[in-house]
Amino acid sequence: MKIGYLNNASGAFAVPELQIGAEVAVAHLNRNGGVRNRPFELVTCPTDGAPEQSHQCAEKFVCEKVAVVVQGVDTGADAAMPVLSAAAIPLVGHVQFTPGLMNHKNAFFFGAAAVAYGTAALKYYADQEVKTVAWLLPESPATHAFTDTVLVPAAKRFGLSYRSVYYPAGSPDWAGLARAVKTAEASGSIAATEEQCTHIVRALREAGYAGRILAASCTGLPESVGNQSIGVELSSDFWHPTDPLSAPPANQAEIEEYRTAMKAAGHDEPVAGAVMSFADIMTLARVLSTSDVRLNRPCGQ
Amino acid sequence: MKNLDSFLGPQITCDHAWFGNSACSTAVLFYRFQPNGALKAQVPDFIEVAKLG
Repeated sequence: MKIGYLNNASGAFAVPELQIGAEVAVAHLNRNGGVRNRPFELVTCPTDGAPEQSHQCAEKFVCEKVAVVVQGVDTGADAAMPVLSAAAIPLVGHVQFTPGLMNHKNAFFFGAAAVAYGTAALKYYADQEVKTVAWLLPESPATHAFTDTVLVPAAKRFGLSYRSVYYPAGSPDWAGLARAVKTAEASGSIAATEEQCTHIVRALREAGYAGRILAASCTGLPESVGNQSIGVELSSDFWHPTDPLSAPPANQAEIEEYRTAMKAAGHDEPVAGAVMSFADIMTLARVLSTSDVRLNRPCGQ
Repeated sequence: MKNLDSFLGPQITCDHAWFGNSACSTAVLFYRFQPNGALKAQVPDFIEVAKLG
């Protein structure tokens, strides 16, 4: 069963390590009989975020007769959808990175909806008696709309005072931003890259910020900011392998399965991001094992 | 596809029913970094946004 894999191997949002997790999952599944007794074959197509590349990858996947395309991170993925949809090849992934995929009928993301993170975080803080929250968001019409239609109404429902503090994505004044949120009991960001998280946490710590800091889903902070990461909170839509005892028993077993598979593939040290792509392939295998998917497609149809 | 146990995650339903969204889940966990760099969950289970009303 051929599975297309679409991922930014280079460019501004390059995450080549995601492919490692996907490859390890495929090898792990194949050692255990594949899906419905058919082995998986990963057809990779590295991109750099340019829409033209994603479009070409989609054409490649059609000709390779893949059953489904898995997206790691591809910021040009919107351009792949017309070709994939015309060929009735679904795209699955973990997180919605591009606007065209948020509500696309041919896209399915196993992780939490991007718009759910903000509401969940406000609920999390409200449950712990936090009264004022101010998050740092990149300046764009989409983030303003998100503030007005999702965050502010949710905060009101939970009895919180909330405001967004916007920054220009190209040239943020991190120190100034840290000063702007100093009176909030909780700050940080609900959606940010590892690099942005690093700047945000560093700036808030160096400004002496006394509130709680949310750092999106950035797991690399101990490496990037050292002790400044202590106490920083983050959101996740899966149970982290570094904290197995907090997970329910079934998920603890999955964490062990992941670790065993990674070691079998020679990865004795954690590979950042690999767990997410590993989990997505394993979830896809469960979907395919219970679905009636077409396994062979004529090229170009 | 409804109520499938996702690997390491919650049960997911991929039907675009939640505001037409292509995500199969609205469930989020929260963790905190410990002094040794490890993560520790701060909630006993996922916060399910779709169930918050």
